[in-house]
Amino acid sequence: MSYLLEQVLNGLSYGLVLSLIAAGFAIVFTSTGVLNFAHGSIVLLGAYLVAVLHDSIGFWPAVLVGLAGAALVGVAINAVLVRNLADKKPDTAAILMLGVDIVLLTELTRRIGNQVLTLGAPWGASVVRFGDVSLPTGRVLAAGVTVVAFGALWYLFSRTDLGVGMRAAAADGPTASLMGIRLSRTAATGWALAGVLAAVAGIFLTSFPAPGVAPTVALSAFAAIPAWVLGGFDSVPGAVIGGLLIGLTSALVTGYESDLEPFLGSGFGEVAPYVVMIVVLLVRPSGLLGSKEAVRV
Amino acid sequence: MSAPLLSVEHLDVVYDGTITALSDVSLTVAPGQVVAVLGSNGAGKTSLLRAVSRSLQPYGGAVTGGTITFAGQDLAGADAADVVRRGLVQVPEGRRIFRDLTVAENLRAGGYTVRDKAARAEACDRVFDLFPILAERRDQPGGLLSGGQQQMLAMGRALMASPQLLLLDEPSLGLAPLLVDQIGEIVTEINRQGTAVLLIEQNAVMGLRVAHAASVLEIGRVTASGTADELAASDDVQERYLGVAVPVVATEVVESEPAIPTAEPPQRLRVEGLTVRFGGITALSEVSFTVEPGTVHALIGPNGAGKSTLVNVLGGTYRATEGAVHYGDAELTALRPDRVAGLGVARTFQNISLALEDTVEDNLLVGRHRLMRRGLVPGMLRLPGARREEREHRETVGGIAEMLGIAHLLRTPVHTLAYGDRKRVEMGRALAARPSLLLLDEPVAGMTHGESQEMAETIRQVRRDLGLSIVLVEHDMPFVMGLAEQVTVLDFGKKIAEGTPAAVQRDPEVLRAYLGAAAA
Amino acid sequence: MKHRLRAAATLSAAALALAACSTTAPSSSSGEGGGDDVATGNGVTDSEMTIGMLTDLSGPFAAGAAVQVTETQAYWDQVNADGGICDRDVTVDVQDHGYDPQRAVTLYRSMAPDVVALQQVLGGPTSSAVLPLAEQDSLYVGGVGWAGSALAFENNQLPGASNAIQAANAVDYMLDDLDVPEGSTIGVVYFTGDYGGDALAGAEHAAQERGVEILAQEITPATTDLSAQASALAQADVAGVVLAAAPTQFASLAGVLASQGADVPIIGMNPTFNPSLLTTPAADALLANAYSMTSISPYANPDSAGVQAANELYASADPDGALGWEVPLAYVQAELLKQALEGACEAGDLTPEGVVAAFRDSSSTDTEGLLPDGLDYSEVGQSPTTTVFVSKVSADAEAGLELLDQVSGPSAESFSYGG
Repeated sequence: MSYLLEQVLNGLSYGLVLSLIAAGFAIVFTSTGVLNFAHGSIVLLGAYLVAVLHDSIGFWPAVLVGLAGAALVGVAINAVLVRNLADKKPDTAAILMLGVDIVLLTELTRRIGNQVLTLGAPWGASVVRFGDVSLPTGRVLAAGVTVVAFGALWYLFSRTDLGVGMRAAAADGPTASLMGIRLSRTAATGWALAGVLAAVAGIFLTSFPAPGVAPTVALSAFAAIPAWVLGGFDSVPGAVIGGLLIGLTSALVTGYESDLEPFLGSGFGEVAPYVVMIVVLLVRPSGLLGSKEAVRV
Repeated sequence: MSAPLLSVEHLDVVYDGTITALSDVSLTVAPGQVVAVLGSNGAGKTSLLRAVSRSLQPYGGAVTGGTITFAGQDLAGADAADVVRRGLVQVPEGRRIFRDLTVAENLRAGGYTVRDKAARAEACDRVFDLFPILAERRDQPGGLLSGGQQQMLAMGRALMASPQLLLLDEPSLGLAPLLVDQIGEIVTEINRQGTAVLLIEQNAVMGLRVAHAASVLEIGRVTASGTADELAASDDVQERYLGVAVPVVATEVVESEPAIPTAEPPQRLRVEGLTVRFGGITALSEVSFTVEPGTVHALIGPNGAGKSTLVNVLGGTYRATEGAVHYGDAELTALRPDRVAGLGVARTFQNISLALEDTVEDNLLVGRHRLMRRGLVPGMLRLPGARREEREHRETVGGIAEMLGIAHLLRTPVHTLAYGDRKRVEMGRALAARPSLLLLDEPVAGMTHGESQEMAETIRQVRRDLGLSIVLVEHDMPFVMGLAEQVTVLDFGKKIAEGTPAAVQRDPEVLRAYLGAAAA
Repeated sequence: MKHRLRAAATLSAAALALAACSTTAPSSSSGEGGGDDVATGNGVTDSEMTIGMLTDLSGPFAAGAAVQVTETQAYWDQVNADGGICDRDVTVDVQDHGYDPQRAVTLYRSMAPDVVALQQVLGGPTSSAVLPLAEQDSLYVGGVGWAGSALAFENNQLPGASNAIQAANAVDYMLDDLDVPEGSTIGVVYFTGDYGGDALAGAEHAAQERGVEILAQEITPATTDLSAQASALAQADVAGVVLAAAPTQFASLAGVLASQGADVPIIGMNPTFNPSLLTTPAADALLANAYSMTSISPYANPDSAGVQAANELYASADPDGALGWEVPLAYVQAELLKQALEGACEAGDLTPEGVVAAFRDSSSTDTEGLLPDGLDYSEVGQSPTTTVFVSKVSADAEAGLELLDQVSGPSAESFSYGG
């Protein structure tokens, strides 16, 4: 029983981190219509900044720099590249983002080299025990921070002018600009938010139980893509549910792989998220909470 | 006259660098004035508003000449967000409310530029005073409001910024007459409270009633301007926009046989005890009527009466909760939409749904899809049989285009067409399927009186030449009167009257429901 | 679209034509040999010979590859300073495939006519793409890693024991030296693909031989958090874990297992350890329980003249360079190729075929302790040795690994490919 509980808690806490990334995808998509395939390298960038700076300026200041850096890079990508795109079609922008991803990732890979850079997180490799169940402190913190982050996002989007303006701009940009809402500003805010969420996710993805910053962390963003897609391309709550679902599925399938192997073969844990995504999309083609329009892309 | 609030001088607007939408347009709006701009579709009215609200750019348009001055300041260089902060707010055509946002959030977005809490609360109170229904439904998503309520929300949203000048783009479009009157009164009230209004209308009756001054725009130029009374008195305006002394539009009768292979003969359409519910809402309740083969049967009723629901059931898109619809021997209500089409039933849509990037011909060919026998592979390989078949399809489509008066537009992409022509293309696509029953959903919505007269003539000719049955859904009462043999009137999902146009027109129940209490 | 297709077709036709030209050109201009009695072919002139190196200088393995390029270059410079091979200077043609198999194939095609041997094709997918082509050309290929699938190619020289042999030895070592009892369960966490699959096969063979159970967990390089895998292993009460993955996974697995109180040995395969892991939060767990089972000697091996020479060479070539297993690896790969070239020279056949024949001729190759002694390359399809190096993760040893022993366990010795 405690084993099941442990895997469930593991899955949920990992899923919450995934949902931070998935929410970043969704926010960028709604605020600028871009499928941001460079999101993975922004996740890596945030963690990388913390890893190289924590020694000289301390962990928490380094976290601030990491969040700000990731947000700034997002804003810059939008301002310099996306806004100046001659052809505003989503597929063109998506391909542009793939290019940005390659450039960023190559540079970060070059800098990281074959090292595994430690983050210097104060929680180290400690674990929290609840009776029989133990969970890494980093994961417990991740869950807490993620819940707070989503609470803040909810407040932003439903209780502030900026958030309501962002939703209006996402729903119908030209009309929103007739209300005096500056689309350039809502777009920049969206990219910045996504950058911050990515960096937060990056920090938790590279601290214990993961060892540190290595280029493969950027691939973790791809694990969040099924979460994003099955939640619905344009829905932040959908991304949260999607992340939890994917995290839980992969933890349970991996945890019970030896029992499932006779039916599913080995290595099913890696494929399970995509299977869940496909099943959800078969039943609900626009995702769990996505709007129908978003899927036409 | 005091110094004008808005002054447009010698304005030129061009789209995509080549298509001229406006040339040398000048007009002024004085503080506290209501100015109407009249004109048919494609005259450039919306372009004028977009130029003033600095929102041409997302649509590929640009001001290439002239000046726009607002409150003494040249607007050149200002963007859409700037002009809102200066007190100039536009209500876009088609309302464009944020459907997923609640009413309150829509209003909040409207007040985005107002930082002062007290001012915003005051504006909100004013909006709720003007539109009590919005206060009542403040926490519901905008998408759930009816058409008239959405128009109110769009106007309320704009008023949240407490503008000095309100730009209204076709506020009466697609609304029933009763609601049009109400919107007119609200415009007058808004103006009375001190806001100047620039009103774009193709409903000239409404426009001239609320405006102090007006201009008529035709093909991008101002052809007449003056006080509202002067214009209302001018023969030209009367004839063209007010429907007075309806000219007998001499559509030339196409003598040649249209190159459309004859369809199956039309059958009798029987609607029996039809009820449709969505969740708890009853959209249609026990509606029955019969459409005789080869007749034009009109369904009328105010907005929200259930007309579109009925068309969707006939077209196979919606399921009937109770009751049945028979076309000849077949039960439509038991079939999928594609099978319904297979029986020879074709429809048009209220909101035009054409492939905008494709040519008119390609859009018409889509309608032939049901009749294409050769598969995809022979078509792609361009085998002789497939090429012959394709040629036949093109000939048929050409014939239809000729009948509808759009033959010269076959090679033109749809997105460059004016609204009225798009409506014809949509009808042509339905006809290309060689239907025996044609469902027309609001074919003249958004057309001027003159344009809708031409459309009526087209519909007559279609029926005469093709010998099919037509179910016509409209709320434009006069349009229907001259066209249909039988009329069924719906209100709140129920049938309230049936009979010949003349009989229905006199029915007191109809007058009360449809034309407003005052009319009864 | 049509135009683009046609243009592409024209281009590829031109490329084919070019390739055809370049394969024919050298055979007509060379082959006469020099003043000596040595037959020569592609990539060899009277005074010079060229060897190729397809590596990853811009992709995911750029950092480690750069170390290898530096060391390889330094090695051949030293050889040339000592008089070259067969009186010829050796030139290394280094090309960057960026871990892209398509690019690797293109580069191979343009390089093959001008080289006598390939020093290295770095990376699993890239070498899988190049090996069959090189086999058709009978061109020597070294340095493609240790996956058993590469053994089937006659032209490939594996630098030491294959992954299956490493894994079988790991199981043997647990039972013989680490107090893992018979009848217990051993976890195998492995990457999908040739490397992990080969290791799993070796571990399964050993488990059968030694009477233990295997609990296999497949992962991908993107799996950086092994919590779920570790929980499953702990739940099954494993007595040890064999890991065929990368350093990130090594640290995560060790850390999580320790946090769950599972105090069991974890043995990583060839490239699974990296000294930088000792700065991560998992350092304590690694120091307590982590071992490395490698085909090649670790960086710190004072008893091996070869390793000392390799490390000194690297220190002089790049004083600030990163220490690690790449240094002895690059050195010994060059050393193996050097021996093959010398053998070909002695046999009087310095053609690509002659180089392959020369290394296949040897049933007892020694490398001064860099690799286990007595490597047997005479049998295509089998690992050249069953001996591997066992090291323990240590904070005191240079590059973090302290050499414990060279072992050749019973299951490693009984393992046979295709059997």
